[in-house]
Amino acid sequence: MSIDTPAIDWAGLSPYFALLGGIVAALLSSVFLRGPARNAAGFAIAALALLGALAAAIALAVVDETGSGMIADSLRRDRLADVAQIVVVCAGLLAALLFVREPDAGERRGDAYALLLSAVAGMALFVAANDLIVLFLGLEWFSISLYILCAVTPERTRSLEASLKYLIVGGFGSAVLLFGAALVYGASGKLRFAEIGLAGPGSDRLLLVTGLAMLLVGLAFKVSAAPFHMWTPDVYQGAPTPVTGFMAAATKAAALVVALRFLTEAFPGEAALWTITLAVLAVASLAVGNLGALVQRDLKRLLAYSSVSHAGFLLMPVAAGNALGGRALLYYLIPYAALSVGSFAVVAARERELGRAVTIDGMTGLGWERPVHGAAMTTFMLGFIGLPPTGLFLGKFYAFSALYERGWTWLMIIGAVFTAVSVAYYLGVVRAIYARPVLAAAPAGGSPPRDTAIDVAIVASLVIAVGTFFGVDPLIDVVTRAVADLTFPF
Amino acid sequence: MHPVLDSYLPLFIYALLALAIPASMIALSFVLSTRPSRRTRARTLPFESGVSTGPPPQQRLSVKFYLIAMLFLVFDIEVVFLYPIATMIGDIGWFAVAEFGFFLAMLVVPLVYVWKRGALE
Amino acid sequence: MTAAAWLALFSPLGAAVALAVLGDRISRSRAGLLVSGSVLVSFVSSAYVLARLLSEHPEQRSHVSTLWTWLSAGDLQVGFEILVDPLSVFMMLVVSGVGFLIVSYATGYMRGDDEERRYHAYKALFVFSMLLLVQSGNLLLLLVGWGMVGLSSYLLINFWHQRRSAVAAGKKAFIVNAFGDATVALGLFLVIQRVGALDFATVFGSAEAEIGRSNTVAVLIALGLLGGAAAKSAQVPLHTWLPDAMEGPTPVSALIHAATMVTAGVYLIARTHVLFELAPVVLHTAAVLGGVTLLVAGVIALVQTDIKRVIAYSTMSQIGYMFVAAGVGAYGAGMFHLMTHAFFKALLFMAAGLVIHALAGEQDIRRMGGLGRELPRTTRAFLIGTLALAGVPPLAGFFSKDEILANTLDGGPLGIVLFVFGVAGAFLTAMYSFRLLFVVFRGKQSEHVQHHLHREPNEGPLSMVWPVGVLAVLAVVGGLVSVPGGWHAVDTWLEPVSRPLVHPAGWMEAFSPILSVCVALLGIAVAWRLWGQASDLPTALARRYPLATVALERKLYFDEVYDALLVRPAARLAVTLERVVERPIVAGSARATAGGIRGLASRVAATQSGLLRVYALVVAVGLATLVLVFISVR
Repeated sequence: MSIDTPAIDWAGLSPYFALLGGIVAALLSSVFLRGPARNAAGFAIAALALLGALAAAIALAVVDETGSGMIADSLRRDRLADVAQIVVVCAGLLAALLFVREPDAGERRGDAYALLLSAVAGMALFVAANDLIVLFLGLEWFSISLYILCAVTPERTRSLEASLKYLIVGGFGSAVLLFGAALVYGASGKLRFAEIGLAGPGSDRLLLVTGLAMLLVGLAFKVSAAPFHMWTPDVYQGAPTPVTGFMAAATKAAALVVALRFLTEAFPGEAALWTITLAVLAVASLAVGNLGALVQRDLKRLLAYSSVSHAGFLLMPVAAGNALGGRALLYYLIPYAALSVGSFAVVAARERELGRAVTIDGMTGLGWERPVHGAAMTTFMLGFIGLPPTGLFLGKFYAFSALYERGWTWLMIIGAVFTAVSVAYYLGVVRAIYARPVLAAAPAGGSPPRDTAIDVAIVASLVIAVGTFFGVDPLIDVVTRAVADLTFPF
Repeated sequence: MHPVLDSYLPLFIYALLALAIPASMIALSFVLSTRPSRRTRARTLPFESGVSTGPPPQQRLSVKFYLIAMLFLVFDIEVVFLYPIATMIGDIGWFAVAEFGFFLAMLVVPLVYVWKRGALE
Repeated sequence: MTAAAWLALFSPLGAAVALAVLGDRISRSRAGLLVSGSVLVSFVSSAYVLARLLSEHPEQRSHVSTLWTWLSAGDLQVGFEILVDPLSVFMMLVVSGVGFLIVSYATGYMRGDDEERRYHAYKALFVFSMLLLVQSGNLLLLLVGWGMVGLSSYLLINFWHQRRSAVAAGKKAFIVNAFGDATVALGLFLVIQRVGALDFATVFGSAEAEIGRSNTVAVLIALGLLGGAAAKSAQVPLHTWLPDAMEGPTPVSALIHAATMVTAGVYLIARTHVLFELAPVVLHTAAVLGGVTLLVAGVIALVQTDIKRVIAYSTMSQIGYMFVAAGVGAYGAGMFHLMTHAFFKALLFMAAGLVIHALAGEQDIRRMGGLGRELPRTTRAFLIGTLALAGVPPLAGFFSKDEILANTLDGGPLGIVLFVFGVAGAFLTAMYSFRLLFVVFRGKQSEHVQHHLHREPNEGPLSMVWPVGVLAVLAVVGGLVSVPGGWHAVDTWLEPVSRPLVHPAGWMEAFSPILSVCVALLGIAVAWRLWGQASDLPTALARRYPLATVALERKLYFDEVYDALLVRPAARLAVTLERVVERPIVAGSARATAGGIRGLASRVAATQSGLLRVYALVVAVGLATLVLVFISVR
């Protein structure tokens, strides 16, 4: 018996190789080097690997228009995966910058870079998943990395608590997803998304929809859509701020892109079912996220609820189930990721300055003490509301257009109402930023040394967030090509 | 017979056997042992060539053993993957050797890591 | 060449951003230098663009440069694009040139203010907005610049936000301007709907075909644009904000408004004259508005006692001339007057600033007098400005104003009426401007002056004195670029962009200057009789015609009428609504809603108990529900 050597698409796999090489190098450097050299090397390796992956993903997106299957067609390399990988890798890069001076990380900083790379690699695999096995594999890969990342500052008990909660609830979610995948396989006898879609009519409907429900729950977990969001506030608050920033941006982006691909390819026949389900989840997330955020004082917790509410906004275009919605999702995701990382970066900087958790009152006077941070945070907050000059303005507009095309005006109205509600707490933050500082609220930790890395991250996020407002045409072109290969049910 | 059942028949038989062996061992020990009618503490003790038995088993173990056990399991399971490759190496050729080498390297890196971290001490 | 235009546009923005970013890491004097330097860069680049345009054939002097296309939906392409053509270069030069002088002057005037840097940043933002407005290559960007000018002027007027009157004035200016923004925006929507494009070339090219002539849509579009133009240029009846805007850190903001911002309306008419010409009614309305404004403002200026307000009313009156010019289709004449007016009005404001500076902030002319001996240079500068304003040859104002008057003569019956208005206005202009000159600089020194005058070696810091000198020179020679009967440089230059509708004959160009000079001299003589020497004639007149005097002092009751017609009813409506609707119905429900939302929010937050088993339970319930629903609807 002779077995054919599989053809390996080296170019297509290059982002993964860059990240895997980075993980190995970061792990080894974290045990073989000591002191400052370890931190510097860890950051350098992470940055190099991420930049390499970024360059590879961009090159692939530019050079190769048509998608192709890789590794026995279990992975899909196309524009959608490329764009999602670019988003995830950029979020990773920004998070790596935030880690440079994370005070609590201590000895573990080298490991943190390795874990960050590992999470990015897992997401890169996840967004390219083309069958149920890789879907689960990628999900677990990045989830486990994130569980540990949350605990990377072991001196803080909150961080450990967050990690443990995330592990247990996340494990529950993964189990549900796996069970759902098994049921779908059982019903259709297929693993590949497209084949499940083709086999749809002939398969056991009961098992299939049960599996679909469970898969939706599993993905909703990662998107942190209500009512599967319960872990989000605790974990976002407890995890080290750089990790929170990364999770908020990248996990959501990856899970939504996978949901888009998976649902349109594997379940075109059940489209009515899953679009309505997603719409309901979107409404629930909008309600829970916005209402929950109203009464928060802790800024990280507030942003966590804001993240839940944006899960709602992001689910709306997917729920629309049309090509416009697909484009809107991607258009929304890119500035949203930048806003998330950027706002958590400002929080991280403030946290280090105050030496304690940042509440809304803790932001008092930021605009006067640190004009750049203050202006950036103001822009991020206005951006979250959906005001110019950030790309989220157009993202929201785009998402509403998709709903309009679908004929779901009711969902648009709900979205608009909750946008109005969100103005209250986002502007509350802005008001604090530009309030005159009271002497009592002066920084307790004194002025920390200038942290160039965090400034770079903040400015980079700002540039992306604002750039997506001005660069409408090229971005529309990118997102249109990215979803061109998908066939939408509506 | 139903084709699915057909293909799973060996597995079924294997599972039955796997259950049967320990079950039969336990059962036989009851059947074959000569149980004294009157139970005393000395009589129920296992015979250990005159050496007295150790402390009761419910004592606490250092968490390190747990860690080492986990690591053992992880590496053990991964090494198990080498067997199928070994059986097919002739058919696949150099590709398999390269793959094999890569896989081993991927195993060595974490090993080095846990070693240097001091998890094995 | 377009690169230079981009540089001119972005240089002040860069300075504003730099000041915002640097905060107090940059010293105050450097902040001032940075802003003046950035505006100087704009001016130099504009001059370079002008030189390059001059080397081209007149018909080819139009270049669109697109930085990027922001949105392209079907045929509607909106980009960040600028247009470099004779009109925009003309405005760029005026805005950046006069702007540079103003900004340099301000570094001296504002020295020592607590928040000097913030002021400089606002100014840079203002210049950027103005440049964006005049350079934009499509109507949307023009609207953005339009709005930003309103915003930055609001910030400048409001600058001393501790003063209640400044805040009120800022609010007033913002509301009136926002009204203008809204009408412009409505006009633009109609343009998009009809033409489906926003860039100037396409809109103007296909306007006649797509919109039609003199129909409702054409009139509505032109009316929308006119609303914006009148609001920004402080024309009756939307003029009330300008005098109040003098509350800003004077006279600098006053100056910015007078010399640059208020000309935006004239620019808008000249730029979109194609749309206006589709609705001649509206164009004539603009001319009539201008004519009324120039008379009304001139009369009110006669009795005002605040030095800046007099100049502010004079500004309105002069803008009225420009509207008259634009309204009869003499765009070149309007722009010419815009330029010379920027020179001499800036000169007047700056000289007034020197006076105020020397008198430690006093602005009431009744407490001045006899300053001529103490401030000889300032007096000379003021005299030059006044002569130019009054239209005495051969100063700048003479040429530009008479070109407008000559052009109105060719404008048919309406033109004749406007001509009469203009000549009457010339009389008033000469009268009120010389009144100001005489009251402030001649006569006996008041007690206030004797106590508070503080002399400086050069009658002010150097940074404040030299722009005055430059402007004095410009006010003298600036008019020579266009001489009746001789050459019309401005007209010729703008010909490719806005072809005038009127062509005054030779006799008109000869007749109108002679008449207007006579009238102006008469005005000066009357002013001399009334205020030039110690006389109780003014008080006697005031006693004789008390009603008229009071009416004028109350600025013809515009504020009162608005107050009675709009503000008070709105307030009363608000109060009534508050009593009838708000408190029982809305507030009740709003309080209930807000309370409900808050209660709901706390309840949502309360579910977040931190207990894992609760989380797991919620997830399990959610999952079970979903599965059950899926199975049942299967």
